[in-house]
Amino acid sequence: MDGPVAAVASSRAPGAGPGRRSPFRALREAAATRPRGTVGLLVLPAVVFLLVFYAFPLLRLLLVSLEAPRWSLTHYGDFFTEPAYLKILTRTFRVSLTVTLCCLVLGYPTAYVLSRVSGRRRRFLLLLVIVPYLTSFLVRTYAWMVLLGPKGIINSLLLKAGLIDTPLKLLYSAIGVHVGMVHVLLPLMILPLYSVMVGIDRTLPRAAQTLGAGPLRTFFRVFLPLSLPGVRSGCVLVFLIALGFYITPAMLGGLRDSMIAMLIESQITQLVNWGFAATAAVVLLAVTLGGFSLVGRMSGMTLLVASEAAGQTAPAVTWDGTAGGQRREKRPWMPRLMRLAPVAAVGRRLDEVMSAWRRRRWARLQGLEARGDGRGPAALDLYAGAVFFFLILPTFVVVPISLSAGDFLAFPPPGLSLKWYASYFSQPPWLHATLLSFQVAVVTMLASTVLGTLAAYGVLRGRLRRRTLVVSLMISPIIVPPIVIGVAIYGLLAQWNLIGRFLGLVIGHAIGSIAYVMVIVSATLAGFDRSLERAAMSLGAGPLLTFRRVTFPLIRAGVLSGAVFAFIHSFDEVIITMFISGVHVQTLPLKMWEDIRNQIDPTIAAVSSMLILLPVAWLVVLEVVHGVQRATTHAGAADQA
Amino acid sequence: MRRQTGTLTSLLGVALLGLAAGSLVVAPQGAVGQDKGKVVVQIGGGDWADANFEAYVAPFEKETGIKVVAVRDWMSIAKLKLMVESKKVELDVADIPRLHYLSAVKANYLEKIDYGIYSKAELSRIDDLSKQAYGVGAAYFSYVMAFDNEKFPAGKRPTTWAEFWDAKKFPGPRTLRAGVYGTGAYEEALLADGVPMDKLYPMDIDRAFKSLDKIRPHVTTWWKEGAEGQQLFADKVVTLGDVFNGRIGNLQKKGMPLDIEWNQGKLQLDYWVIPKGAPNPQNAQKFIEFATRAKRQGAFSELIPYGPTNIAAFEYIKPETAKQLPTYPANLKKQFHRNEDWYAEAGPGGKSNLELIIERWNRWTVQ
Repeated sequence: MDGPVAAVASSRAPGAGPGRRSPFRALREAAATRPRGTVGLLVLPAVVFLLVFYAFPLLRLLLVSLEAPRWSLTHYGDFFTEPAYLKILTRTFRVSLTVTLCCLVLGYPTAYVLSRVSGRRRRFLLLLVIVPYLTSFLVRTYAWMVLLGPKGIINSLLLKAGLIDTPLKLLYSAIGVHVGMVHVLLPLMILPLYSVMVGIDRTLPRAAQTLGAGPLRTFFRVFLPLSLPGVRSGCVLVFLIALGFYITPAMLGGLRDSMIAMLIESQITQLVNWGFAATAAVVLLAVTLGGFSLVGRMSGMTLLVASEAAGQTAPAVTWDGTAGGQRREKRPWMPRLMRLAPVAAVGRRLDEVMSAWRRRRWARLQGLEARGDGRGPAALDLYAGAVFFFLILPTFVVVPISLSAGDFLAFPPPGLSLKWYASYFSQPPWLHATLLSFQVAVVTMLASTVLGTLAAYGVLRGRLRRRTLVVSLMISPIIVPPIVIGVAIYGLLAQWNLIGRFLGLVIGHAIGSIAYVMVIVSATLAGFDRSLERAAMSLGAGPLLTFRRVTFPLIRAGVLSGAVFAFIHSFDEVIITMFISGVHVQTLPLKMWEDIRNQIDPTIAAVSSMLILLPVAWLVVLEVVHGVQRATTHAGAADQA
Repeated sequence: MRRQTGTLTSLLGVALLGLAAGSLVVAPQGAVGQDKGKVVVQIGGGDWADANFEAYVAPFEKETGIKVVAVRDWMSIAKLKLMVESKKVELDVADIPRLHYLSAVKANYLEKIDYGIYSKAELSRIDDLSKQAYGVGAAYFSYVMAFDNEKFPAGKRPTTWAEFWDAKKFPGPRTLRAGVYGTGAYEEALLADGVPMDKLYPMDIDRAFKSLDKIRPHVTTWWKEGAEGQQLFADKVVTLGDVFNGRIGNLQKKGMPLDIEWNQGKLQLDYWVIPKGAPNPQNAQKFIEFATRAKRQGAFSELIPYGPTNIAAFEYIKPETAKQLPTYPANLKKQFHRNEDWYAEAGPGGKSNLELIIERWNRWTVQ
């Protein structure tokens, strides 16, 4: 089964487990048909960038925590013998676990309903998941402050209804932290779950029922096991990202609700204890990366193969390499890439909403089948409806607040006025911050889209040594907590005099943005029919011409999705920015973050309301570009459908 | 095909245009006032920053032609250390509480004040505590008890910290200052526990935290920056609190039904300082000299009720404003001065009491 090339490839990547053979086989296949060594070099710009500004600073962080060159474990001793810090560590775990479970409980039935409804309704419901996901998390967390406060909307309504006498302690408590985190992370659970569920062959549950299984038995014995890859990838992503949370617990939590990222921040901003902060950061990093690779090694099962890339109507899901496994073999997915496939799935969702036409027929078919199964009890729909309401509610609650005529946050607003919008437009600091954020985000987007796309192409089409390592380097910033990156690159940027400089901000933001572009573009590249490239080459087109005339037009939607993510990542970034922005420079999220702490007047609500329009604007941009593509390229995507 | 390329190119073009336009908007900022130079001043946050801007920044620019870059943020001893030790000082002037001033002097983070540029008349009216080698007093302010009048009308409100701690007699959500910067309601906790006002120092830290344990369940949230404490009252999230007098004063001006109690107030002093290695030290000296003139300080006190360090400022302050200032004689005698020298002293193990109390706070919060 394993040819010599695969064996060599495996030995080059020591971590390669049994389930990761097929990508290498695909590579071998590719190498056999089109030998080209130079394409791999396309990863170089991204790799060099990340080695200098990401890997090297992380290594330095480790050295600082070990007090190199004196070498001592004092900081680690201090960390693990101080009950307060251990308490914070265990609390971080507990909160992340609870949040993950809540997301699963809320997300699973919702994703199920989502995967069963028909075309137009599905499109609408997907938007309800995607718009909150693309909305600034500062805005969403701020909305929860408005909702949960002692004088907030929820308490006001309960008091008015006479259900309670004194306001419930929702804000500044563990409840607030959990609600806020679940809301921020829920889309990252629903989307991968949905991706897997939509790909489950509907004839399987039906077959089970034909053979006499009841609906419950069918669900537990057939559907649930088939959906487990989605459960796993959703849970891993939510859990790992939750571990590094900082802003949400800081805004919504009480004194006791500290998480480890807050400990790191306070060690630096209160005590300037870099050694100890580095130690806490290394602990957090180790826990995150450890958890990531542990889950990846548990079995040969791939976490998720969101392989509905580029026009495939039926996503293939592997379960221990059986269902859909054959099809997967043709796709040179990188094993580590697969573990982050949910991110790609999110990118694909963007596309999907825009290109429902592709799926409409199939979806209608599924909708019919859903009815045929006799599924979709009203209770389930109601449950999912409640979840959608939960997802979308905070996003729009800031709008009435922003129109308040009062001087302070109040609900219902004492009167309507546009004065807080006027307040925003009349204050130069707000305008400068907004402008700066746009500039940084645009430059970050352009740079990381180029680097990330080249890298994705190089990884998937070139022959590379240490491919797994290269891919890990490029996509790990998605799960490495931003506070760790912020602490790590501060020293390097300070040395190079880049603190508080435009270039410094772009560098800090591009680390994460490249990862998003890489994952999303790879998903698109991996999915499209490479015989088209081969055909072009056999007709005499060189690699460049082939890329320009065949490959790029086909992956352009993916590249644009990647660019949108790169933009949003930069435009939304606050934690890394906090460390590297220096004294003079203030991005929009930073300004919002400082204002939320300093003076919570409804100007923030006005800014937030305007920011909600941003994802909508992005969807329109994608729609337009997609429309152009639809009109012009029938050859690739459409014909595969 | 051609059409697509067109779309992409135009997208790119729009992006680049936006950038170009952006840099046009941003560029002139740095170019202003090149001849006279500039000075970068950190002016704090919220009402304090607004008052600083109106009373000092704008008039200083007008009089001297020196461009002031006002940074709305707070200085902490940690930020100062970070800046000075990494030799990346981007600020010329900041104000820090005496609590941090003493540590900053000890660590040699500050430039010496050039008293040579002060007029004799002004200098003689600045009080002695404010005339330090490395800093000039900016304003006196107090942590005071504040109430929501609707919940606690006169006569039915706590007047001592012991009563404030009594949640049975005076129920209601409270706020106290968080201990993140070494500040915290430690003195108040000791007073609540029966320690007399003149026997607070040296502080019994254990006893203070034990006393804080008792009030903790009744504290809705612990504020970090002055504006946050103010916001909690403005939003009626709390009805009782320990906050800066000026922040409540400004809410009263807006007509909010709030009151403060001067009894057992904690008085303290902020200094204007120049971080070591500041890029425009001469302009920094000029700015501080300007900001400690009697007339300017008088204007400042009218904007936010904090006490001037230049006694002559009272000549420019309206009588009804003067009564609201923490240094007004009738108010002054009810309060105590925070003993910052105790905080700066080294405790067991060589760390200062300030550092020890921050570490203790961090441990206490997760209990």
